[in-house]
Amino acid sequence: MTTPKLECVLSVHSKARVGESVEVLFKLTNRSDAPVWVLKWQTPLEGIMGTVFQVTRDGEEVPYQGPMVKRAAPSADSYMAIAPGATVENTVEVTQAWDFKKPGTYRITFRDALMDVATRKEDVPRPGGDYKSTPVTCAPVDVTVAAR
Amino acid sequence: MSKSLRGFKWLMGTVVGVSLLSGCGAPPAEGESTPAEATEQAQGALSARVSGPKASMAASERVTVEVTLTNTSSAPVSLYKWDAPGEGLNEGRLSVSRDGQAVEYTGAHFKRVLGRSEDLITLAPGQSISGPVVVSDAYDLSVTGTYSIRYELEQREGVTALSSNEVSLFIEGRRNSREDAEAMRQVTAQSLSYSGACTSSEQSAIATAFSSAQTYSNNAYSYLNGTPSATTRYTTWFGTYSSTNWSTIKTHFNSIKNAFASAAVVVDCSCNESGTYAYVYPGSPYKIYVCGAFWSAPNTGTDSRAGTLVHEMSHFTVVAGTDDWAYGQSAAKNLAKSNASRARDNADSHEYFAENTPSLP
Ligand SMILES: [Zn+2]
Repeated sequence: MTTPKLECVLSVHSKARVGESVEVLFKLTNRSDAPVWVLKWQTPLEGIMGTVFQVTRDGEEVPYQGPMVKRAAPSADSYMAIAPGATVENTVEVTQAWDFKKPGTYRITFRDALMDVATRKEDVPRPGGDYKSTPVTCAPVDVTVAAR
Repeated sequence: MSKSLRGFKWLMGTVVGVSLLSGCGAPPAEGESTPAEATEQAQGALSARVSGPKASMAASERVTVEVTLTNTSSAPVSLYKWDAPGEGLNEGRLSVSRDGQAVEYTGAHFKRVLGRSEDLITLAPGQSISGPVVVSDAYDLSVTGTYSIRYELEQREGVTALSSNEVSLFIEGRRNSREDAEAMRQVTAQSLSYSGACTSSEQSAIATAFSSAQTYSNNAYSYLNGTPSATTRYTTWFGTYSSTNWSTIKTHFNSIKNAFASAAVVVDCSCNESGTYAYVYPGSPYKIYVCGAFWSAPNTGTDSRAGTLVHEMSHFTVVAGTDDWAYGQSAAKNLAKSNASRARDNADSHEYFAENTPSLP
């Protein structure tokens, strides 16, 4: 079994003003020639249910203020199928979960791994919690927030 | 909430945005009026009906009203689940008055993450949803009298303002839940109180779990207060041993046990999600929201109620500031092997160390 090749891209409007919403688009593309099933936990594919991003302002860590959720075992619905060459995406608004009220340059970085990626349908949901954490690299994005 | 929504399709999809609420693309309504007027009428129009269970309620009875929302427009209408009827994470959707005087909302206030598709429910044209909305615990019912209750929704994107009929209920005055919480605090001499309409049997189960969580965290601290070494119990959950690493975890459990001993912990029962044990907002100590899976868990042992409270307590920034890097025993053991510094920052690793099931030396 080969490690599935997943390409991750974040994008955001590079400029915003204090008080405006900041929407981050998360895209995951399957660059392998077989389908994969990605556990949505701790990714923007399920919204913001935990520390999906690390956020800094001018290099200083901005504390996460959103919910942190302890889940029961996943169901098939907790996974998202990605066909070969296909992309799944979701947009999340981040100013509810991190404080963007001070002007500055904010850097938004995705976690460096997906909690579980399955390459066989019968492994969805993964039996016995034996997840296959899979590294993924998305380039961080910057948004400069100006005073009103 | 989930009960009242069974059979309704939750919006799922890969593109999520507030635009889902805007009713864009709704077909114009049929009828005599001009298309412009018809569209304005049709978009986002819901009607609401409220009914009471019976005309009078004794002080010992929980007061709920039944609310039905119907999509009276010709296009689908989406609204947030906390604006819909049902016992979910809701707040202040009723207008309650007694003898013409507005009655204060005393329930919880929620910090919402907006724009998530799973938080939206969609009503097809003509479709209705109904469910209970809790009045007791959420509004000040301390004075006996005739209360008038209606369901109201201010205008928001994609949904026009609405107000239901009014029901009158004779309600015998009762102490509000906050006073009960204060009383409970004095009686039990531990700083545990409840919000979100916990029933009395839920309150007693939480009190039992809380006491077991105190025992777990005291025992974990005592263990770590012993001579540091690469014990099986330590390395299984936190990986590579060093005296510095050991003392990091000892500091965490010192804070966790102190919080269970003396912090003003509030446990909230308003979340019913069956796929979730519990959640917290790490910057808002010491409020812990317990959800559906919490109630299916045993009091102690692996992924128990007591262990879940330890997990959640470890998240608060002022306690141990842990994160969720891996969920479940198998993933937590792997994390200890592959990335010990993340294991030391992982809430489930703390939970499993405290639960110590099966017991490791
Ligand atoms: Zn957690």
